[in-house]
Amino acid sequence: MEYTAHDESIFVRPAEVGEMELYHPKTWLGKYVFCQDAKVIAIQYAATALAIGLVALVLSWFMRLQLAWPNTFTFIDPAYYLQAVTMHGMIMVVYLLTALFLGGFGNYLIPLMVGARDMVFPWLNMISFWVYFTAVLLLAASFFVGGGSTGAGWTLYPPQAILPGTPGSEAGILLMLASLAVFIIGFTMGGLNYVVTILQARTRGMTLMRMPLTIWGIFTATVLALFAFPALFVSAIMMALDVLLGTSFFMPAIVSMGSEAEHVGGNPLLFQHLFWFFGHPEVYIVALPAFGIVSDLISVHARKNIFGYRMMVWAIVIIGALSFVVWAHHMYVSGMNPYFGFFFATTTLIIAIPTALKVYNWVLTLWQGNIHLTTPMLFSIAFLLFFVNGGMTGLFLGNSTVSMPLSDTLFVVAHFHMVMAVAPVMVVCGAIYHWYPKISGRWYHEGMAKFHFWTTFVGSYLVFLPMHYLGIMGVPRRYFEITGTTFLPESAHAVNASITIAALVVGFAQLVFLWNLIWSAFKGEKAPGNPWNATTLEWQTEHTPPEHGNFGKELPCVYRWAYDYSVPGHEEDFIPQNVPPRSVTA
Amino acid sequence: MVFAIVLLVLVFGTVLFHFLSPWYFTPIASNWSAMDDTVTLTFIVTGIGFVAVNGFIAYCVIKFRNKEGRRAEYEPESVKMESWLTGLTTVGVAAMLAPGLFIWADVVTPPDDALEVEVLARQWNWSYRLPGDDGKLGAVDVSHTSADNPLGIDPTDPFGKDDVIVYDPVLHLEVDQPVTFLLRSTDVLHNFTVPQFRVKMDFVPGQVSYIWAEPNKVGSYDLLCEELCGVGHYAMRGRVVVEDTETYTRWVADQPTFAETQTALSSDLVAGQAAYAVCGSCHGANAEGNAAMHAPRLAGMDSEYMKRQLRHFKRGVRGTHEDDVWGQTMAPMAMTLADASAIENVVAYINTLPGAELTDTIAGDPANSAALYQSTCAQCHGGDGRGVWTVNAPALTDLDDWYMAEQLQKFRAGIRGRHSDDLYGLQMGLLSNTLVDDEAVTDMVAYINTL
Amino acid sequence: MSTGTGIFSETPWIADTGPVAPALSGAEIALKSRRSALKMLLSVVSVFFLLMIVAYGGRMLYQDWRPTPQINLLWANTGVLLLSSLCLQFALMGARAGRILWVRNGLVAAGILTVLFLVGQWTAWQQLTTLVLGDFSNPSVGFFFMITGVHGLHMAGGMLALVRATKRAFQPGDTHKMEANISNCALYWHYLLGVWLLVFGLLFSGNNFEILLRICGVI
Repeated sequence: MEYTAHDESIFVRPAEVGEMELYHPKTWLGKYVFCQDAKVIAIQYAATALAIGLVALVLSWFMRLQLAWPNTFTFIDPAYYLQAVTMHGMIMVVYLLTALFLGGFGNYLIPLMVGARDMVFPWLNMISFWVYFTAVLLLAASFFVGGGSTGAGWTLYPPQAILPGTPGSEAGILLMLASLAVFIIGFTMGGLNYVVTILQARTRGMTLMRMPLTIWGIFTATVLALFAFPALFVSAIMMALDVLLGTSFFMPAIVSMGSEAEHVGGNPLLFQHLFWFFGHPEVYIVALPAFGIVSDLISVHARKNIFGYRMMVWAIVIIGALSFVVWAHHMYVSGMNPYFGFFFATTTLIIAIPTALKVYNWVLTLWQGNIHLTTPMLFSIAFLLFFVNGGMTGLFLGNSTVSMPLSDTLFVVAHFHMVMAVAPVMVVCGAIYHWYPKISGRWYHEGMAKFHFWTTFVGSYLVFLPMHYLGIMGVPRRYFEITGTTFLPESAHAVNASITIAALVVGFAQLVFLWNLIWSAFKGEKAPGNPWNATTLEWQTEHTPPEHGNFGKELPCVYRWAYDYSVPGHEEDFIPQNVPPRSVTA
Repeated sequence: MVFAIVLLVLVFGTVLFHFLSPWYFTPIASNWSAMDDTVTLTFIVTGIGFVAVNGFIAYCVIKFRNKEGRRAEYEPESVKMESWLTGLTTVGVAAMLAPGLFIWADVVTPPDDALEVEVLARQWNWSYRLPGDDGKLGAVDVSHTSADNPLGIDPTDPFGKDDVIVYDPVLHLEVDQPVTFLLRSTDVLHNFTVPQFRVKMDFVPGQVSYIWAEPNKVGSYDLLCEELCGVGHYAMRGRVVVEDTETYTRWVADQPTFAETQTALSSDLVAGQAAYAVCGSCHGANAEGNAAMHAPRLAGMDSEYMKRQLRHFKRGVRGTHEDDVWGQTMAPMAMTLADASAIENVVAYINTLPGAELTDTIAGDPANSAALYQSTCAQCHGGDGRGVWTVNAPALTDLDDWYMAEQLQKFRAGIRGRHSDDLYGLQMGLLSNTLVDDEAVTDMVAYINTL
Repeated sequence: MSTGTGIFSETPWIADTGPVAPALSGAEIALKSRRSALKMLLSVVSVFFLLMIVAYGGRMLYQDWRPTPQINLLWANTGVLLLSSLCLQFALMGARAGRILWVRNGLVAAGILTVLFLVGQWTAWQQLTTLVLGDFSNPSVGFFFMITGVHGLHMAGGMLALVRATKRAFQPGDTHKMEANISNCALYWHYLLGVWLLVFGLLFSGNNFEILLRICGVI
């Protein structure tokens, strides 16, 4: 097949590029706080997400300490444990990963990678961040109200979420619902921005099928989020009304703690359907940007085009679409009509096929590549290990029959941490190291980065692999402690203790990571504009870090896809997207 | 290179861990061995994929890593290869899905000869109901629920009269008899899991869900709640005892019917007073207790709690631990009460006794334990310490403080609450572990004194 | 462009050799973006309402369903909302035809009618609260308040854009430049009218139980 056919005679130089009106801040506040530059907003998003994520990380240490050495630490009582479980889960999934991938990477990379000066609605973008910030504050406030934050599990299932017997069933749950609603409003503002920017503000020549997979991942994830979050929004409103107005959306007639509640005829399963109609796409809202970014990272650092780009795009789109028809696989043992199990087991296992194809194509990109084991590349390949492992256990839990003995046990916890915690975090770390020279203009500290990588890579595996087997033995999730059973051997406790030690070490490595980011921003070595010899537009900016408006006087014009690496007949092993064919052959 | 080796170590370490580690399913005790087979099948298929993909990655990292003068191949895509891989994956997925779906069809359809047993879950305990001679369970409704009718059975429904009530977390089942568990909750979501049975299902208030199994191995199994149901979730333990037909039949015959629980046992105060004579020698004529004899004040003690403990002493569930000296003293005394009505009588008599003024004998700092009491203990015993009947937690406000301290120590040390039939004791034992040392116990009791 | 034009047949690894399309100006991008964002927003809102309708329908199937008491005022409110939508359409026609008076009158009338609609909805809430004696435990009543409330909030949000468009219309200027804004307002109003007709027709006027069941595919 002829890959590099070009006929110079018909090539035409583009006319001057139209300008986008840019907002130019005049005050310090306008420049650094209420800034409308997507890149600054991206950093604000990322910093906020990482800060609240740090809280969630510490909460996970508390949980692990209790599980390893039960009843040793007086500050962890059963209620506090459940609050830690709940807040850890909710913060990590929504406030850290969703915000970081879409608000952080989305804001930074979308305009740069599609060749736009900024998001199409910069003001809305700025508001979106501050609404998100408010949501984080509301969430954090729930730690300090009477009764504490909610301890209903991150799924917030009613009736228990709003009944006595569950921690935070008074103010905590209401603050959580309010925070989620605010988050969704903020996200919708941002999300519309991302989608419309990608649809309307791509530079000339940047056809949809030439966009880097990072953009495809973020784009699809944003569309998913826009359509999935309304389900959470509706359920948050309904639950809040059940508490505040005494409606009965989710509350049947019950006797709670010896007294009859005022509700009649509500349906708790309705909440679960709504929650998972949001919750399952949410998994892919986190996973798809990771898929996209890791594709680009692997391609750049293997000096090879991503294998099967078109299939990769379609796989992302198909996975995104399928993610809306698999939600009830979270509910096989929920008491819903069990006949639904046939349908949802089938759709769930079908989703494995495009996902597997993506894995094959990542691996085939490595095949016959020229692999540079840089820190971003190490994280990318580590992602593959965790993702394949977590994906495989997904085949256990997606299949209703196989999942039955495993559901509600630590197997589930281990599975989703592998596939949607550690795996995306590997991509987050790889991506931060990858783009750090562009964002800060400086290199990260290589020694700290390597320490961070090895500790996180090996440590996380040691945390979550044995956890599966605790689950298989039958250790339930969300248990404050597991003594007093007759079927669990004493050695199960030893496993728990070893997991905790590994988790604490991994947690410490994340502190080193954050310190590296801060230290290097001031003390790191100066980095060149395109240190990885990458092809995508963000590496072709005039300045590093890129200035407001991204591309200097003239927007780049795109002539080729994002993966022209090691093209035969070309001396360099990469050709940037904005290099016209003529100058290649010249 | 190092990276590839570490990767290979992790991958093969995973395989070795799977085969060599002692941690796997607890032995099965029901008909669902096919479920275990699907797990094994899934392990085989995914295991092959896991090793193949990661092995190939390690190979690529070694073989194609950057070296002087190396240049990557250029190959945009290969539809043929992608199609083959997709096809292969589809076959693998179908191989896992198909058996799963066939077995699921069995899971959702209980056999016709299955015995229907109702399991009632509520924060944080279990009770059960078996159909009586008419083979039918009577109608229930939340609105009928009360301390006298804890299962909420409709008193007007004739089918309900002969229903067998098991107001205790231990359920007995007949071996090789399929059972459909009808799962009903009156407060929040719960879950019915016996790990050895493999199947599990949630309770949803407002509806009845079901799951079925055929226990095929005699034994005693833990029953767990695996759906987060509040602070006491991890301590919501029950027990399922699978036994031969004869033992099972005897057990069923011992359980009261709904009608029997409703005809209030005539409490004969005279008989109660006579029976109390034995008790009075230690607990005092006015049930005021005697600290020197380690006999607690009984006046004001929760009636249901006293009855349960007397039954436990009688059956050897309590007072049999070798270190429980005072429990061993009490056990033979309980034997003097011949049957349920004798227990009923003596408790009724105790309720008429005035006791004496409670005096604080424990010195501790209530401020240290207020938070723990309100976040944890209060969930069952109430914020005011007056107990909550649905959780079967006794009031604490009329108890001797030295007695509470002594019992808390016994719970913590595993001297009380470790008999396999004493599930409430186990529950209290688990919760008492949140008191990490002796000082915590005295502080807690001191706080309860302030209520 | 690359060989193959559609996103199905495109072979993206082939570099461009043909002429490059002319660039859009920043203003053109902004104009297209607003319309595009509005359409996207409306699809998100559609999912939102759809979920509530499906939840309502699902709950209806239970034996103990008790419908909400009828509020006849809702018919009048529907008429008012319809009129306000028509007024916006009138303003849009004015903008296209270059008639500033049509634009101004249409916008002002639409605004007043919308406020009237919101007042009407509020009154309907009061009536229902009286009818159920302040007891909201009947699920259908809960749904009524939630769905009408959410719809009302969307209308109120739309008022922000309408007020801005109206302000612009009372400043001197070319009506054609106002067209985009007014057209966006009109689209939003027509859409919310559609949503209202759907939820009103399906959920709150008379016994439409059966229609809903048919739509949900139950019978």
